[in-house]
Amino acid sequence: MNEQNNKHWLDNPATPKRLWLGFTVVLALLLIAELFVTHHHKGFMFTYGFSAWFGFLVGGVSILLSKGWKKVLKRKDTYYDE
Amino acid sequence: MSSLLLHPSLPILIGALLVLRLTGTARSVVLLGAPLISLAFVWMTAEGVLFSISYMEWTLEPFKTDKLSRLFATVFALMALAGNLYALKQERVLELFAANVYIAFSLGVVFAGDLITVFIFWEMMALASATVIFSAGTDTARAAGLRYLLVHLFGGVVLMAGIAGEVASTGSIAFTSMLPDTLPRALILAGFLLNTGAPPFSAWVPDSYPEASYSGMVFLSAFTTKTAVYVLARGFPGAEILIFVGLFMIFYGIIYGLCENNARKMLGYSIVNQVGFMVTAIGIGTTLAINGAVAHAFAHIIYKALLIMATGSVFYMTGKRKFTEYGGLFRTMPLTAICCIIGGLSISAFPFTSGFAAKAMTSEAAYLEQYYWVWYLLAAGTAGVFLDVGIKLQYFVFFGKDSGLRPPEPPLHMRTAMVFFAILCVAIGVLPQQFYQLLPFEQDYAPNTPDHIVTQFQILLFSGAAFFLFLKYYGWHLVNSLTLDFDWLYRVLGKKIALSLTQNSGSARDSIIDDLSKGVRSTIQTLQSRHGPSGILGRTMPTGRMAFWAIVMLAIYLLVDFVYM
Repeated sequence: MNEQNNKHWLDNPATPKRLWLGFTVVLALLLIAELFVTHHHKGFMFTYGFSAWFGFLVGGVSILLSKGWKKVLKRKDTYYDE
Repeated sequence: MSSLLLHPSLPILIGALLVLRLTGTARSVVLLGAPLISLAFVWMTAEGVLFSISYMEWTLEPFKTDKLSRLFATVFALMALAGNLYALKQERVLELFAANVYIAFSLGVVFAGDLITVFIFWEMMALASATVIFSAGTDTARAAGLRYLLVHLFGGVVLMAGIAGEVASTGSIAFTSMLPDTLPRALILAGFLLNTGAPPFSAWVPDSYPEASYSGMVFLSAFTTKTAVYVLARGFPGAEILIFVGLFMIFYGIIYGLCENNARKMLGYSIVNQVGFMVTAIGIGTTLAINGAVAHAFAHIIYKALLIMATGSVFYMTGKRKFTEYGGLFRTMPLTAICCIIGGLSISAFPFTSGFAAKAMTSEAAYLEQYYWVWYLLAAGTAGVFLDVGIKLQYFVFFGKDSGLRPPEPPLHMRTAMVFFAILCVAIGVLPQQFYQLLPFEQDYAPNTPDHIVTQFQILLFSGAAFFLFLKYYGWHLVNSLTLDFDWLYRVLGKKIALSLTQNSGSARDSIIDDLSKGVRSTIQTLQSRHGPSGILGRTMPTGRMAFWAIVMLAIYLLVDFVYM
């Protein structure tokens, strides 16, 4: 196998930027799409854009929470062997 | 009796025994054929009590079928098929034997119509599954298997106490729907819950399962926790405490999963997380919720096995299991990566995957029952799972920083097993109505509505956006470490208490032994002084004296004889 074949499109340094761009477009499309659907249920959780900001919030909080958790309860991975 | 011959456990049990003797193609045929015959038995048998037997004053029902048991038996047989295919070339025959016996006993629980039969198979499952862990053959597997066994035998004692109390107070061994309103029933519930990975015994799942072999963990992931979901769905639907227990399990699994550096261990945490959804649904208890719980169990067995097969393949090909050692494996393992991603999307309940079709019912049930806070937490849990298994696992194993590892794809039979389950994940998601026909209760719920799909995509992708944003901002990185968990209580605290007890009781024991041995010694001395070689009663006498006394006695005899004759 030569160097040429080893190069994968994901290894291209421009790829992460393009993926972010594509991802942002998808997120925007999802917000637009919600304008055209009718919710079957009523309530705060079915107001426009709820799922978007709730998902974002949960993502952020989960990571902060696990970081804090880890800070307190982190041990060497040989902890139990001693 | 003849109906017992159609028990779906039998083909797998016989297959397990044959595997001990057979090699090569014959072994493969048995490994793949037995689950298929078992699956045929599941669908050939009629509903109702098919076999009963008298035992003391009770009637045991070891073979009772209804829609619920059939659903679980179906997915167990499918799992046996895919698991055996994945493990087809496993060199440790003991593992294959133990795994298939374990599956047969799980089917035994699923078809048990009374509490005594449930208990018997429940305990035998614990032994067989521990053997699967032991058969990995490493020191860590032995230690983890022992901890696993101790936890489960403890659970068995609790369950046994509950069943004994229930029988004593009601006189019935029937396994029907109940509520934890008496102490025996609470104990039965606790015994069942221990096997789901509920607190405070959640740690046994991530502690023991990853220590099994690459294929052993695939089997383990499917049966113990899901038979526990089965018995809860049958025994305790609507027990409200399960909502709290289940929600705890969901977030426990997510937080610990995010902290974890061992990929296989992280999947162990996500088993607890997923079973938490099912336990919550059982706590809600409506027919839609129970349908949600058991549909989730069905779908979960498939996608979780798929995920463990994919990470197991990586483990098998690289010998490594930590995120810090992985990275960039998509280059040489694209099929494994695709299968793992499909499993990851399914577990995250992406629209058009099996997880979406299953989990949606539980959220819907929570909404309809006006458990709005539960609805919010379930939604948060779904986003959390996506961060764990949908992104973190995939990103750090197959993408992310290139580790320089270039392992090839796993062997054909392992790839086939993965593709089989990946197809099932998508098929269930695309054709949910066909899947719903397997469920125990009639329902007219349709998950794939436009509003539901859009909001589900939003919640998942926006949480993913947060992950990648925070990934950079907080300098998130994985480190070679572990995070303390409940098992600290028995691995460190319990050990300390036990050791100090041994030391303290040791000195007490020494002084007791000292006193005792003094007493014994003085008794021996007394005995020796009287009966010893020089003692008055034990000393030896000269031969002459013996001869003298013999002559005297003979003389007396002669004399007597002479006088009286």
